[in-house]
Amino acid sequence: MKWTEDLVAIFLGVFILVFSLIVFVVLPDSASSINAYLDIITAKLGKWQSNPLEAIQDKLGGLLGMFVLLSVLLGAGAYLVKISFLPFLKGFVIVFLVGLVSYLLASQLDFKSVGLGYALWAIALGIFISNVFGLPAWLRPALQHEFFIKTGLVLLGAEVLFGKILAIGLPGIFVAWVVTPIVLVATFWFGQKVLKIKSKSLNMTISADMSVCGVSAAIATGAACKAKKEELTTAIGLSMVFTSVMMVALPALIKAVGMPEILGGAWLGGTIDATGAVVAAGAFLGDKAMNVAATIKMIQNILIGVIAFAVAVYWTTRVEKGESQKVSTMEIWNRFPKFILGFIGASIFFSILQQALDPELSARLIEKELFGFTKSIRGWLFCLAFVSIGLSTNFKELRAQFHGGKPLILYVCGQLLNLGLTLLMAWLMFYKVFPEITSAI
Amino acid sequence: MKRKIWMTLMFVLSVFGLQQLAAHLGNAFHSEKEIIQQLNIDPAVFFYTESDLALEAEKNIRNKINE
Repeated sequence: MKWTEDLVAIFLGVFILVFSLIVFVVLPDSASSINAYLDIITAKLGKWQSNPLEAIQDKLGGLLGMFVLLSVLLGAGAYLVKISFLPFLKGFVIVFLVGLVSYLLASQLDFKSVGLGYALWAIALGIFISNVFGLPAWLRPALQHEFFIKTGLVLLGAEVLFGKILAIGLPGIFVAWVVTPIVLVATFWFGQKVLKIKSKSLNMTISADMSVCGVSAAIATGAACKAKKEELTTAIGLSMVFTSVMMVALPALIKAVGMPEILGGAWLGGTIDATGAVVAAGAFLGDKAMNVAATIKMIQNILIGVIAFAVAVYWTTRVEKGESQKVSTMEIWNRFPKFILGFIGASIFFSILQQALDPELSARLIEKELFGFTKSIRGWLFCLAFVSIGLSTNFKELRAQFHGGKPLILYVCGQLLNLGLTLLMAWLMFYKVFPEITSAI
Repeated sequence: MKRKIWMTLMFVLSVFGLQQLAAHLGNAFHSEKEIIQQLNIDPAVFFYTESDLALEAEKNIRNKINE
C-alpha cells in the first residue's frame, strides 16, 4: 500500500483516538498512572500580564513531554510519506518553539480578553521570521502544514457530536442549520458572480469561515477545496479581527435597542465566528443569552463536517473536473481528499458512543477526560500548522490576496446577510413558531 | 543586519503597542473584559469542546426544555 498524506493523517488520528479510548474509557482505572502523565503533558499554559514566565511555571516537564510525543508521532508519519526522521526533527524543534511562543502570546491577559488566539500569533510570527531572517533549507522538511491540519481535523471530527443538534429543538436547527448553508452558498455566489474573485478556493474558504464557525470551518473547508496557504491565512485573519469587534459591538447594540435576551443570544450564536467569543458576548447579556448563544453555536459547529464533505465532493466533481469535461469515477475518487472520510468516520463513531453511554458517564469520560487529551493534541497540531503556513508564506504573496479589497468586501457583505437572516430566523422561530420553547428557557 | 535588527525592534514594539491598545480600549471593551475575567472565559477558543461554559450551556438548555 502506498502511504499518502491523507492516509497517514487518518492513520495517526485513528491511532491517537483508539489510544485515548483505551486509556480514558475502556480501562480508566488500570491506566490511571498513564492518565496522570497525560494530564501533565496536556496542561494548559497559565495566564500572564507582564511576565510570560508565569505562564510556563511548573509546565516545562509537560511541554517537553508534548514535544517528544508530537515529534515521535509526526516524525513517524512524515517517515511514511518519505521524509527522513532526523531532518524532520531538526526543523520541528524550531516549529515547536515558535508554536510555544504563539501559545504564550495568546495567554497574555489583554490579548486573551480580545480574543487574539494562537492561530493569529503563529501565522504572524512565522511570516515575520521567514520574511525578515529568511528560511534555511534544513527547516523545510518540518513545514508540513497540510499533514498537521489533516491529522488535527481527524481528531476534531471525534469532537463533533451529532447528539448536540437536538439540544434546543427545532428553533436551533432552523437558526443554525438552515440559515448557515443559505448564507454560505449566497456569499460564494456573490464572490464569483458579483465580485468576480479569481480564486474559487479563496472565495469558498472565506464564505465558510464567515458563515459557519470561523477558524475551524476555514481549516476544514480550506483543506477540502485545497486552498493555498495564503488564502487560508487571509480567511483566518479576517475572521479573528471581525470576531474581536463583533464580540463587543453586537451585545452593546442588543442592549442599546432593548432586544429580548433569548433573541439576542440566538443572534449572537448564529453570527459570531468563534465559540469562545460567542460565550463571552452572550455572558454580557446574561445567563439565558449565554446558554442560548453557546448552544446555537454548538449546533452550528456540527455543520463543519457536513460542509467540508459537500465542498470536497463539489470540488472534485465540478470545480477540478471542469463543467463540461468528462472524468472517470476512479479519477474523481483519486482526487477526493480522503482525510474527510476520517473526519466524518470519527464523528459518527463518537456520536454513537456518546448516545450509548449514560449522559453523566459520557460527560465525564468522553467530554472531560478523552477530549481533554485529544483537544490539546489537536490544538498543538493546528498551531504547528499555522506556524508552518507563516514560515512558508511570502509577505508579497499574502498582500496580493488583498488586492482591490475583495476578500474584505466579501466578508463584510456575507456577514451583513448573515446578521439579517439570522435575526429574522431567530425571531420567527423563538417568538412566532415555537414560543413554548422560548418560555421554557 | 541593521535592517533585521530594525525590523525585529519594530515587530516587538508593534506587539507591545497592540497589547497597550487592547488594555486601554473603550468602556464596552472594559465591561466585556471584566465579565470575561469573572467567568474565566477564553474568547479565543475555536470549538465548543474547548469551552466548559459552552458544554454546560447546552446541558442547561436541554434540561430546561425537558423539564
